[in-house]
Amino acid sequence: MSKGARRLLALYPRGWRDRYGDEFLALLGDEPLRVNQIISIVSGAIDARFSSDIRASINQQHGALAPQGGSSVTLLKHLCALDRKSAFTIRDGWIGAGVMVGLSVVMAFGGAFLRRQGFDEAGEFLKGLAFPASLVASNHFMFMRRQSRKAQLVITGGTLAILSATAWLAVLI
Amino acid sequence: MKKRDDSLADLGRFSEPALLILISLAEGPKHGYAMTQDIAVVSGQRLGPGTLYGAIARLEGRKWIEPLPADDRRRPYKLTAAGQRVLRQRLESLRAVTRAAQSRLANV
Repeated sequence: MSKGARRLLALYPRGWRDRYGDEFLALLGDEPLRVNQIISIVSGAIDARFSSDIRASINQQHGALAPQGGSSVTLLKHLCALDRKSAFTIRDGWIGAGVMVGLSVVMAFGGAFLRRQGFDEAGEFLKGLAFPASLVASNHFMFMRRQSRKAQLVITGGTLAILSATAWLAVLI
Repeated sequence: MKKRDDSLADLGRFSEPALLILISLAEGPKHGYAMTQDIAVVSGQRLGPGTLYGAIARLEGRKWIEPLPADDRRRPYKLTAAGQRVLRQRLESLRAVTRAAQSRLANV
């Protein structure tokens, strides 16, 4: 089969490729692709990525239980390589809740302590960050638990970095 | 979850390719390549690979066609009883449209 066909197949979502990839490549054969075939494959890939109809069909065939979001969620998942099932257990939920409450309290008290010690800016920063950072950190133990390291780094780490930067800016301004 | 319509018209722009696939499979099980060849002969239309598999995925999701064990890498599909019923309904409605059109043309 042509290398071009394999590259174009990569445009399709993983579930679709798992289900139809082999037969799709067999259909395309070894001949170089014509322009109208390329257009059809690309538009088919867009359809497969954004059509709830196709997603429902693939999920039904795979018996997937994980809830699916809309098109933008699908795109975000793709960009962050979130292809694994994200279902979490009740235990994961308790751990996440514990992390959220515990970290919020610790950071809030830490902020108050720093202010008493005369570090007003650092104290404000820590207090302002307490709840949002704890919320993001708790997701690491729930929704993000079974995701790849890369996805965890991008979503949890990236969000914490943005939150920290904005909290620090808020203190300075 | 939205309930799926039990008609080909619900497939939007894929309703025509889906109809052609159902007609092709009414003759017997076929894999993707055989379907495109057959459809080209029957209708003069050559379905692109993206269109073909977009329609196949939708038809399979509605259980109007079902896959058979793969032969090498090619997987044949067959028409289900529900698919036959949908195809008959669609052909019946097309027949009614054709009769109306012919009757009007006869009066021109």
